[in-house]
Amino acid sequence: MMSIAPGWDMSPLTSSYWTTSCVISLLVLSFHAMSSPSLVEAFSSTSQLANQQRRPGLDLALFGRTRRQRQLHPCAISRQNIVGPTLSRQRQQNQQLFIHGRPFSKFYVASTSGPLVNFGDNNKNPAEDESEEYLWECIIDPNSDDECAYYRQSYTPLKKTGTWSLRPEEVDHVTLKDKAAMAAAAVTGIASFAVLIFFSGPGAWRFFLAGGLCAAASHAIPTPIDVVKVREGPLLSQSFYKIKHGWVLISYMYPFDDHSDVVADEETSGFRVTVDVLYPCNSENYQG
Amino acid sequence: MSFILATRKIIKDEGAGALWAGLGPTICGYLLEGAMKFGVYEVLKPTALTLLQSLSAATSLPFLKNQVIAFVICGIVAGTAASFVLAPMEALRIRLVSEPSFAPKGMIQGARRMVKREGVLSLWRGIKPQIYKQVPYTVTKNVSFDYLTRMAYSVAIAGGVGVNAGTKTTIPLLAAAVTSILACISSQPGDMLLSLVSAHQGEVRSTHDFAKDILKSDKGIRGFFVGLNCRMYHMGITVTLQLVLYDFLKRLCGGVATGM
Repeated sequence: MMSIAPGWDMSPLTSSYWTTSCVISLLVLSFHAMSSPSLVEAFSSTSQLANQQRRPGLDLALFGRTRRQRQLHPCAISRQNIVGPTLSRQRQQNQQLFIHGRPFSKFYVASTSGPLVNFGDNNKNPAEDESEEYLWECIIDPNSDDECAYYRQSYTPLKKTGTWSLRPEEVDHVTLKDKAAMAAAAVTGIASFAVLIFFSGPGAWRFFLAGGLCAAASHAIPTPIDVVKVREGPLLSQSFYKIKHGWVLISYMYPFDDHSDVVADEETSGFRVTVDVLYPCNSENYQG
Repeated sequence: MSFILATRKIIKDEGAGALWAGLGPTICGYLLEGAMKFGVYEVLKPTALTLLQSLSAATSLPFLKNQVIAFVICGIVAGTAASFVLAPMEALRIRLVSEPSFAPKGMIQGARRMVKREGVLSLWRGIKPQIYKQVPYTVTKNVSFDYLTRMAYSVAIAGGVGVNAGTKTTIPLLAAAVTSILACISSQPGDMLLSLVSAHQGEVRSTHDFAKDILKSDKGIRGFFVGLNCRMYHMGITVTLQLVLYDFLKRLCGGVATGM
């Protein structure tokens, strides 16, 4: 039997298999629990989304400042332009960024098996990209002059969930639940390691400490290399994103009081709101 | 665009600070990953040896009573555990680096947004390719380093050189350099898959689909090893530094040198 370290007591080591398994299981279960809808406001239940999709004209609204015409996929989207509240009203509404106690929310991209034009690059002729399929999502910053703050690839695996998440708005609002979840995660992580080290026997801490420090240092030093690789690598070479499987909508869930307030007046003060009603590509309801 | 030009472009467009994007998740993630990887590996070694000895006696299969097999088993367990620890931080790091506007305030904001928008389990979405990469990497790295240093110390002692400060520096350094090459080669297919999955996260394709694509390409299995040379420089420095540092820190904490 080899000597692992001075003063090493071999007897507790027999429990290390079980300790490791228990700690990993504990971690997985903890994060499972934390992913419950009560802790994660992800609006991701299928029924909620199904309801939204059944009533696209009522609850799905995409707003932005449409000074320039967006190039949306004609097959997937029909649009109406309406004029939104005035700036003062907008400011007022921005201060009330909660809908039924939830943060002001938006939800994302509709796409289908059909192609989507490249609307991430307005200098390009959309026709050039018709042969390509993209999955995209559009993030809209209500406080930005840009119609779309940025475009990015959607990270939601469609087939696995069978639905799309309705995601909370990027309002920097840390709820008590967030704090509790983060604290629970940190405490669980630290406790798991403490338990693991404790049951690993006397002297085992030096392996964990040395291993952690050496790995952190050796990976932190080449961080700039990683950044350049990732930024200039395949992720950035995609100027726009693929659309596949199913359909979803980019939309803000905006607390409109009155949808009949549809006015197409460029001169109206305030910001312009676009309501995009999305249909699946093969839908007979397509009005685009 | 060359690497230097790309670096210049980033510095010009976003400032030098942009090059350190994702530093927080990198340090946190690899602190936990390294602790798990090296800690579990070392802690399990005596148990694995004991189990194999018992198994060998019970089954009358003498080859089971082998140190390397025990080390490989420990490496597999340690690599898997490390993957689970690293996956969330790696997901966060990739998001922060590839999409700087996602969380301008840093990793806490980024983690919160990812969890709120996509659920906690989304942090482990890349676990499969991560395991494909981490397990061969950990097994090769830990076992090779352990075995090579052990062998080198035996040779040094048998040759009358003895174990002094010089050998305690030279042997880990040389063993780490050789180990880094082996670890780089063994983890290259997994790294290739991880890169592909990370770069195409929006697509509904499994890791196996990407593997099949590579195998069906004109390069065949060699497709997994595209870019190996470039990665060798990066990984060579990282792994060598890591193992030398590990050996040094372990001794600093009162432990014995690896392989002794």
